[in-house]
Amino acid sequence: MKKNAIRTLAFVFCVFVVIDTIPESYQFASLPKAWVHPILKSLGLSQGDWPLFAPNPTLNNGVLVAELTDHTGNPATWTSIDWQTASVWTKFHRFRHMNYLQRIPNNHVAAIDFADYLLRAIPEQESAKGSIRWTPDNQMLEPAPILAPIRDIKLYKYRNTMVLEEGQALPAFDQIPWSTQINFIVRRESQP
Amino acid sequence: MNGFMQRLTQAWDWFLFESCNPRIIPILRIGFALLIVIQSLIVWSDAAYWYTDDGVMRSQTAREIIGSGAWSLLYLLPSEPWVAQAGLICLTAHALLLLVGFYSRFQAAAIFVWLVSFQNRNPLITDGEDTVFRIFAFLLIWLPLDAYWSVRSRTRNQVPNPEPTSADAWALRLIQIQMTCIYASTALSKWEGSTWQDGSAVWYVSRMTDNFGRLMPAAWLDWPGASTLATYGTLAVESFLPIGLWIPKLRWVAILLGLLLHLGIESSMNLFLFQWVMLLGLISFVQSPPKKIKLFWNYFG
Repeated sequence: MKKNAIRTLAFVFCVFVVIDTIPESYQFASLPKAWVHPILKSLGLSQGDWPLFAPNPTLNNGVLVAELTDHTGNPATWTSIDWQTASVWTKFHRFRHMNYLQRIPNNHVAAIDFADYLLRAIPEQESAKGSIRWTPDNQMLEPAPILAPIRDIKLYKYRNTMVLEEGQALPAFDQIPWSTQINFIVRRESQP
Repeated sequence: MNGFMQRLTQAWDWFLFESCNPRIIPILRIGFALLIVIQSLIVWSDAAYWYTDDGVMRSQTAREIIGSGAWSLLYLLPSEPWVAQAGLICLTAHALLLLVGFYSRFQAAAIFVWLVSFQNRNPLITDGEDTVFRIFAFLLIWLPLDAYWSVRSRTRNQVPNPEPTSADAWALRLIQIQMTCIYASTALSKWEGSTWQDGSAVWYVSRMTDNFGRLMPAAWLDWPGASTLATYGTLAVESFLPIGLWIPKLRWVAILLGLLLHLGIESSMNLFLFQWVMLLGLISFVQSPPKKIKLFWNYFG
């Protein structure tokens, strides 16, 4: 009885895992995958395919930037960790931040939650830099301190991409021309 | 027809019950527990940030993203910092008890429940390693984890099965199948990519400057032929592993190549614990050490 149960459990596990891990691009597997995946998900065993930089690596360098205004009308800027300059230790212990910040631009509901979090968390838990208008009168002034609550916030992704021409040989690391694309993600206002 | 089914069942029985090495189970148990402890301690200071409604993602949003059917204890409990922290304390405690081998199958089951709960509470911070951890936790439940190198094995009469055989180690086969599927899935996906075909994929990976450049600077891949060699080498190893790991004569070569692949990625990229949990999975393929290692061990041991 016990042996039969093990035989069956093991067989079902193997079949389900094989189906669940077939790459998404294999059309013939889409039906069985659509059937198997929800069952595995309800058991906590879903995984999907394993692209791991496939079919082609996607560059996702960059930072998130939030432009915000505090309740007095002062503008300020919040910036996420710049991973290019972060230490190995920071990249290790804040690894989940990297995952999260890279995915926010592609997930609107999560981006809304994140913008709302920044509205609540700046300036106590998250630091932002106050900015000043550069007129002849005030260019020597320190930025005004940010005062809670924050009135509104606009979230952007500053994405660093390589500028490569078609047919061009791959340049050395220090000769890559980089350009920054700015993508708007979401705007939120604090609720009274 | 009956004869065919009988032969099939015999082959399945041999595969499951007669050919795994139960002596490596404690290595998996200890390695897995250590990685879970590290993971829990690292996320501790961010418990409220990741896993509460006061943090970056509301419970409702998490459920919307992950879709129906997924479950989490944190959906049922109050979304408070102390709840997330208590959950992490439980996870760490279970991992420590697994580490020392105290009712380890129960600890593995509890770890599985907590891992699913945390991962479903914030799906945007998880990646491949979390999937491997979760599935390994589930598979460890079915192994005789306390038989060796454990608190309970010190008093043999406390362990229900003090001398496990290959028949008791059948879940090792499922870990091996899981590892094979990962390598096969990624190899099949890579064969479809133009950059993997023309040898430039690793050059592009090295330009992912947010992740790349841990110990190995990206500029090393500018050396003539380096990125082509690394691309085709990765593709060759990942294509070979799903086959080589199952051929007894090639198994040690496959394990060694897998080891080099993962250590290479670990030295060049910041991917947290992914390479280490994959190395743990490779250990499941170890049947017995090759003769030369045995002789060396006997001589010096």
